[in-house]
Amino acid sequence: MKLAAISVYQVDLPFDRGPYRLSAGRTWTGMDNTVVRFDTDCGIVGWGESCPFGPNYLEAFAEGVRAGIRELSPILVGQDPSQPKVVYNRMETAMLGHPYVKHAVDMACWDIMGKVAGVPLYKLMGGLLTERVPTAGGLPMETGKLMQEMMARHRRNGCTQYSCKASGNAGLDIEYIREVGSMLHPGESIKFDANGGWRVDEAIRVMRAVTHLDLYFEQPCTSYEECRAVYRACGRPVILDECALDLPVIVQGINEGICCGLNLKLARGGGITPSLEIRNVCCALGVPVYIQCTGGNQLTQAAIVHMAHSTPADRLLSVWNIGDLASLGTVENPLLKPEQGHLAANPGAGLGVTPDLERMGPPVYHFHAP
Amino acid sequence: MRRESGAGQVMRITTIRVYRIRIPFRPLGSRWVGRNRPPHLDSTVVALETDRQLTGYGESCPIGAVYLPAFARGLRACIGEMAPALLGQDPTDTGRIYAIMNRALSGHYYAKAAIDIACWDLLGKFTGLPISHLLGGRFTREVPVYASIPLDTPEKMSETLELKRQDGFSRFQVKVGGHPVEDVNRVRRLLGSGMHAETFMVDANRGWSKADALRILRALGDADCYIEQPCETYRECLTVRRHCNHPVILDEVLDTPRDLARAIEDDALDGMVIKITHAGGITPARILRDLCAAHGIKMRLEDTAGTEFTRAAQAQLAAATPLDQQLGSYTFCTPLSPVAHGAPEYRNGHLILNDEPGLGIVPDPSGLGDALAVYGEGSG
Repeated sequence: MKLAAISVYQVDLPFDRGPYRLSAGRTWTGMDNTVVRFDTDCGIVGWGESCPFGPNYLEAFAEGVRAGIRELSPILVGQDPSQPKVVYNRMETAMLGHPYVKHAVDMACWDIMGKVAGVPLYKLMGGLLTERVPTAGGLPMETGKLMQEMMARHRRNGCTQYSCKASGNAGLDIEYIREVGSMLHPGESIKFDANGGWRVDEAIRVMRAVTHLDLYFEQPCTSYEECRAVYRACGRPVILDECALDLPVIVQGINEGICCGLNLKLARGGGITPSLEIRNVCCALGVPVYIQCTGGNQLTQAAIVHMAHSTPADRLLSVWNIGDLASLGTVENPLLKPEQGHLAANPGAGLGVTPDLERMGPPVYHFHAP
Repeated sequence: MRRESGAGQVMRITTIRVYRIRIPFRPLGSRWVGRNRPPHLDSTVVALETDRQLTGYGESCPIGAVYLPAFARGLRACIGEMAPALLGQDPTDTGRIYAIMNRALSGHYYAKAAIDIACWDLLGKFTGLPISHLLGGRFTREVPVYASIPLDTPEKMSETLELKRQDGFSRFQVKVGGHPVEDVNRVRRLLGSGMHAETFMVDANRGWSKADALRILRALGDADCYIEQPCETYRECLTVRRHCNHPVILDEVLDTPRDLARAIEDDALDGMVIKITHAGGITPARILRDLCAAHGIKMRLEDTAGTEFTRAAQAQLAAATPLDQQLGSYTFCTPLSPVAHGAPEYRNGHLILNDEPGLGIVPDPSGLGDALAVYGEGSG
């Protein structure tokens, strides 16, 4: 089988609930999503997408996805897309870095591999280990009525895991964490994600001020070394996210005992191929994972859910429900809405979702074999 | 492990058959000096029969009972122990089957390997894809292999090396582990000095004491070779590695991804022998492989011993691994008559794979003989 043509689509995904805020004053009103379509010489079509959260989140931006695919197109056409690791190796020889670009290509290759094999992708990732995939309920970055209502809504929907964003202002964050942390019911858990927004001294102040609460802290500071310093000072469970770029730093984190959990974002690792390796290593070394992405729509959601299905339940914390953020669906057959806070993949081959061409409009770029 | 709704189930294991195959044993290295040497190798082939008229095969063959903590009778007892938990399960859920085995029985990965490989064979047969494709794709159809030069006098080993060269090999494992002076003479005679286009791996199979290893390595000076598994324990090997100018390959002292992660932290190795059944099958061997690749550690993807099934399994994993990460696979001693057909054949330093699904091989009708044990339907 050979890849015959590549088409690229641009889709705006506005956030339903207004601007989305992270620490350090980062605010976005929506996501700029890129969808790729791979046409093969045997008629099978594969789909992938990549959506950086915003240009000041990771070293990734939406125009970069599209420029990167233009750069790679000449070496991709003619390859066998049903062999994603081989294609990945070829991409590495053509372009350094830019995992978020390779992520879109890799997802389309996996979709094709699944369609060639005639099975849903989770079958090719280890099979069905977790039938009902738990989602995390996101809470707004403010206390009071809005937050209480949101928590109650998630609870009614069956969520037992919550996710909060810290502002990066240690004093305000202490007040916020005290209030939200004290609202948990037995059996529920919560993580506070600073997205690298605290300095070491601030992170230590926050963690010390809330020692009576049972919490996870995600990416408290920017670098691995800072997170390690905070962990060693406070002994609170730390989830690594933005700094966990590849297997060597993750293995170091596990060896040094500080990686109590990993937020595995498919696009950050560079797609399903490298993320599957990371997932397998974490599971073998006893480290639980959140499976998420930087952004995206139903294709990304499907890839996340397939990987979660194939993860042992005692190693899977939860997944991101992208529909919570932006409800605009650009596929014909979306994953079903979470039932009792849990998601499941569509039963079809590959990713199991097909983009709706009418909603996406014409491609912004097309490349085909001469 | 209960399946709540039967979602995604494509087939069920109905019967597990266990076969025994005797393989003539030719000891190669120092491991067998002064130890119980088995007259033959006792290999176990497991057949997983399903309700879809597809049968998957996997093999595991310990080398006697003192090469690793693994022996053939124990292996077959493990299959019997796990069989009730496996019957009725979907073998194409490879990771799930592994979790089921771990719940039924702690450790004993060499026995789980036979089941795991058979599950991958079935996933391949169900999807119509070779195992190497299921692992992400095939980098080559021709897997490079090395030749092992058995422990002998320097002269005899030199002759063997020449013969192997004529057979097309350019990667060699040189067995040592006798007396230090003799070992130095062996290596000098075979390698001389200076750099080689060929690859040499000097394998002591744990036969050196730490002190001997340090003496020998100093005496070897600039001989261009890897040093493989010099001493008995991981700690001894680590000490040697820290005083050694040669790249070090570890083999028998690394069992699990946890062991490898520690060795990476200790900077203990430059190469790793990943024996698929020692690791516990394709599922865990793949994790070891990915850890090695991410840390620039070269790999030998091979196995302890076995027949065509084992040769096919290692070739599938090796074919799915970039060639620049590999030091070479191995061609096993084989039984007197073929047990299966379609296994990768040796040609000019390589094993050549076919394009058939799963392991790509078909058992010979008479090769497996009668099952030693049968679990599930038809077990009478």
